Amino acid sequence: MISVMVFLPAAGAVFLLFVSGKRTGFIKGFSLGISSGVFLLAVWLFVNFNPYYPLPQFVERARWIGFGLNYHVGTDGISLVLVALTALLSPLALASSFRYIKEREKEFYIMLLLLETGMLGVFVAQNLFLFYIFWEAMLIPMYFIIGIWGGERKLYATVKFVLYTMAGSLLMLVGIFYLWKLSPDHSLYFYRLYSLEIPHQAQILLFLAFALAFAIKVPLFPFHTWLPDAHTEAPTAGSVLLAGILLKMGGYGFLRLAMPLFPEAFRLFLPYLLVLSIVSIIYGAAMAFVQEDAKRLIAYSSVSHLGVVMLGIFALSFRAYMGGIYQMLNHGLSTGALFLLIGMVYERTHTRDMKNLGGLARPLPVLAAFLMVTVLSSVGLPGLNGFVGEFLVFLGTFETNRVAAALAALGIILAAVYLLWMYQRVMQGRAREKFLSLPDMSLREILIMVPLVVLFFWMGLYPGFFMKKFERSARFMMEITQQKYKIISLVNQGGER
Amino acid sequence: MSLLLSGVLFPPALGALILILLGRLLSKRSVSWLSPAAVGISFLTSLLSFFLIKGKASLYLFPWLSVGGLQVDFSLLWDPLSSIMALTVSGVSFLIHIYSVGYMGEDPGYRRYFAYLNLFTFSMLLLVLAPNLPMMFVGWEGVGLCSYLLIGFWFEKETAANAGKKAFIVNRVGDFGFLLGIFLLFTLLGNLNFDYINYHANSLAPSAATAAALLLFLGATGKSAQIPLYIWLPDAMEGPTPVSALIHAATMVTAGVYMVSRLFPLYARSGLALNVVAWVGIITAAFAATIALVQNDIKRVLAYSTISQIGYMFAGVGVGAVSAGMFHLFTHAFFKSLLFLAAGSVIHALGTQDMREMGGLRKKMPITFWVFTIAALAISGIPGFAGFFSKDQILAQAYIRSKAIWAIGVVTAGLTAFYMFRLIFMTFFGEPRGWKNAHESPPVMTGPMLVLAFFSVVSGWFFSSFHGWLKPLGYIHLEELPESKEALLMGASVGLALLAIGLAWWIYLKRGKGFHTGFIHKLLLNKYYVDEIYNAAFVIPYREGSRLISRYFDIGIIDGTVEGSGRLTLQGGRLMSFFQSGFLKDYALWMAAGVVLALFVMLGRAL
Amino acid sequence: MSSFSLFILAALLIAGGIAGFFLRKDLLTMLLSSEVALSGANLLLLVFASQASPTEAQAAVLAILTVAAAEVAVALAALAVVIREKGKATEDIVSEMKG
Repeated sequence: MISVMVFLPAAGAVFLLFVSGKRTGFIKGFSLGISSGVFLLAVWLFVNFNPYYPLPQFVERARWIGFGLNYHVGTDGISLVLVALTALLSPLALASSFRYIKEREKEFYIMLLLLETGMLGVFVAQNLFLFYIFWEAMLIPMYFIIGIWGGERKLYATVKFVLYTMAGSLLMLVGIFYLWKLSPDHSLYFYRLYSLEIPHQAQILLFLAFALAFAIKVPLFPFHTWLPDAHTEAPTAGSVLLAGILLKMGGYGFLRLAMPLFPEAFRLFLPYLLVLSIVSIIYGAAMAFVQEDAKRLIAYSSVSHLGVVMLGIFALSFRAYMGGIYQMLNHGLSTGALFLLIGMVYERTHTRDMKNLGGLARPLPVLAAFLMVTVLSSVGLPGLNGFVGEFLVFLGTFETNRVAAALAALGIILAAVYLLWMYQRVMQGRAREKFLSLPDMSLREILIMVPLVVLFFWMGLYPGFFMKKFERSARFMMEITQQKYKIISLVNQGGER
Repeated sequence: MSLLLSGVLFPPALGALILILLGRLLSKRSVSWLSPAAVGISFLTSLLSFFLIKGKASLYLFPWLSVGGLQVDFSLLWDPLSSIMALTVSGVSFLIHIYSVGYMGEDPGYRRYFAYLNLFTFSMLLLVLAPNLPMMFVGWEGVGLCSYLLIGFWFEKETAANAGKKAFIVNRVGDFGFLLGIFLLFTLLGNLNFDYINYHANSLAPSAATAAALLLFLGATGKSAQIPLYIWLPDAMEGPTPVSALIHAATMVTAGVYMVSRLFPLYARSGLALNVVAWVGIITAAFAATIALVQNDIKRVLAYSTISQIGYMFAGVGVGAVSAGMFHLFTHAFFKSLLFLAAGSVIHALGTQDMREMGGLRKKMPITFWVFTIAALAISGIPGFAGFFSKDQILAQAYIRSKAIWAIGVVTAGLTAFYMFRLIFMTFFGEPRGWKNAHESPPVMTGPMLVLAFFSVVSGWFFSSFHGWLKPLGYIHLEELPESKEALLMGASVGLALLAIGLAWWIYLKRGKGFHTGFIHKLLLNKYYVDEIYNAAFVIPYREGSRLISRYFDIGIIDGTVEGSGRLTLQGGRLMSFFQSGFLKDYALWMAAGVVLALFVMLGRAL
Repeated sequence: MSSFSLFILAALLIAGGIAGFFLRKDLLTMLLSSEVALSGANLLLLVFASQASPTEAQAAVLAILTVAAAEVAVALAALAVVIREKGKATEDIVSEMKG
């Protein structure tokens, strides 16, 4: 089932290759259909997932290229929610492009579908080899999405994005070779690797290699400068998926690989990682505050928010860890929604420079209302999703490190500063004459936003529904990280089903 | 029986939901019925609960957060404290909803306005009925949001948008403390229910209790506009006047007092924290009162007056007299919202807020004038009116604890009487200044005002039963003062108030103009330059610092390094491209050379 | 033939191929020369194979032959393009790939 879900978009993309590029209506409908189908499959997985079993479920394996390297997918609770997030955001991003993308439409949707396969693959891969393949494969469609359909400085942005990410993951590849050689069965299966005894020195080097790859992806300060450029230049769908999903892979990589694989080294670098997270929170917020371009502002806000996620994951407190994972979902939804809305503003006004905007709440009241809710979700207003994650992260961090929590909680003030400032500059004040007759949100646009807003409330008011699904898996991963017990026996019981 | 509580909380939420989702489909008339009706139901159910529920009741709805030992339930708590608050909030809110039907009648954002107002009432009731700190924080932030939305209601006005943003951000500073306080209490106790915290407060180390209490109090200074975070409230007057009456006078801004009363055992555990509360309260009271002396904007005078009165409440709670502080909260809700509504009636009629352009309105707006006078007498502490009883209790209790607090309080009472009557004389007496025709407001506005006027008198008469009602909480306590002493103290404050009224009469009616010279006047008019100081100390450094960092560090150094490494690679590539001449033979030559070299190396190894 | 003489033959083929590659200017001849060198290398492989493990080396040779066939096809096509574009095909006139 998982394989079907992962490769359905790719199959759809292949099919689209044989469709005439002129039949744009069919292409849009078809790719949206495929993407929605994936979403339904993800819902099926979500519903049928057994929350009391911490190890990967729905496991599928097949012999592949030999040397111990097999095809091996499955999903535990953490992967499950990220898969669900991906499967939700992809069709929304796709639908948001229907009018935004005006040239080479067929190719665009092919790229989006390929990207979806890559993203899903990263989250369900159960061995390091497959993980790496999806990790890199995902870059290619993203490269084209920014490079072809991007803004004015698209080439600069896309080259920077790809080179930056590649540079990070190259060292990781070397690390993977090492692990392959070290592991007895060469399978690179995650849960086998966790039980590996890795020499201390090697752990340090490997951790650095992996952490670099993931820190760039997150991005943690000071590896963040690719993000504003990539976000700003990417088309709306690209920004949504970049912020919503791709950035999550950094955090996912840390909690799935870098931390549990090399726990000693992680312990060693923990203080620095905490500092980097906190600096990211505050620094990202400060930088966001002074941006003129709305998309750049949101990009820096991602730096700040992802700092919260990473703090939660690093804090080594179960509550913070849960909060960190939850915050990944929140950030995916609310930042995705922010990009969608700013994209809609851009489609109408053809500018993202906030100096030229303002007063749009008069002609666009519905859009303004959606933006308000989204901003509040992002600010972490209780009752909406963002608060639950932030609250847990800060609470958990406070238990293990009070100073870190206090510094990081400054982020809640600063987030309000830059996001309300953005809202004011886009929506409030007097509108320019030429903007007064802009059309408000169309039905399609409203339908794109409604699921997100519903989730803001749902996740904010009844988080248990979602948390239950990954609570066991999160506890399990964290205990592996903390080396509470050796997991060999457990793996042999369950992981090999 | 506890099911009644959902009838208290949810009608306004339902109203807000309907208005937000279906607002466009509803006629204006149905909005005018729906929205006040929702709050009205809420008020009636609170009244019902007030009489039916004896003692405590709680209603469990669903688990909100439950992660690894942290258990936060969405449930509602009805006890003496929350019942009083719920009644006050829903009652005043109901009256103001009705008033708004008239006041906002012409506004194009009519539906939006009522949606926000309903949402506010819901959030406030949530705050009041919350049984634990995180749920209270949900309400706490909810009312903050509605305050933000309603201050910036006329968002096309730059000042309104700024004021809303300022309110939200300043409150966030307070929330920062509030959250840390929650975290600290959770790490100390492992449970965030009020009952649990209060029950176990005595097991805390005093220093820990102090830290937690003060962190929470930082949140209270934000929400309740006390030093150092009061600066947002005067600006909040940019919102529609009924909003100022409801949110920024009667209900939301008193949430901090409510919170401290709720957690009184925690504060009592740490003597220091209580002292801080009392002193911050009384200093704020005096400080804000001095600013109110010279303001010319009618709403700003009332705003500073609100800050000042909340200071009294904190002082009351801070000296240990929870029931006195809460009682002042209770009476203040009536007369202060009445003051705002009456001021709104004037603004509605004249279209200006500047008192220098008013004057002589007494004849044209008799009802407004009389209710305003009643409220002014109440706030000035004239015997017989509500404010007298509550303020007197606070001052008497303060006298026992600390003479200094009492002295400041009495002087502030004098200042209060002065600026209130300055306002009355400037607005309603003398000759018209600059306005041509004014008219009394319609019954839909005067009606609620009359009801509030009634309560501004009577609500003060029931202190002992109020005290008795709160008694079951277990930490309600009043010190006894000899009767003679009490009469003396009362005489002092009443005398001072009357003197101040006389002085105001002499200056603003007899002499006809105020003092407009001197350094102190300028200092007060500019509100001690606190906004400017905060700007210079926080806002500008943050903004300019961020700009500098963005330009020179983020783009200059970090991105410069990134691009530098790219450029280095590029240069390296150029250098190496010497080998790639494009001619086949050159490639072959390099290959052959490589092979030969490799052979030599192997040969060398072999030998 | 003894394996020694086969060695000599292979060496001659390789040397001749390389020499041809360097000494001639005509692209077609250069291609032929490189093929000669390649067949020399193949021969060498086979000789070694007969002494060690036969199957793997033979498989390798077959693979090389296949690849060589494909490679020649591409090379000839490229040659045809060069001739069409430039009129003749000597190595000193094509340097489009200069870096």
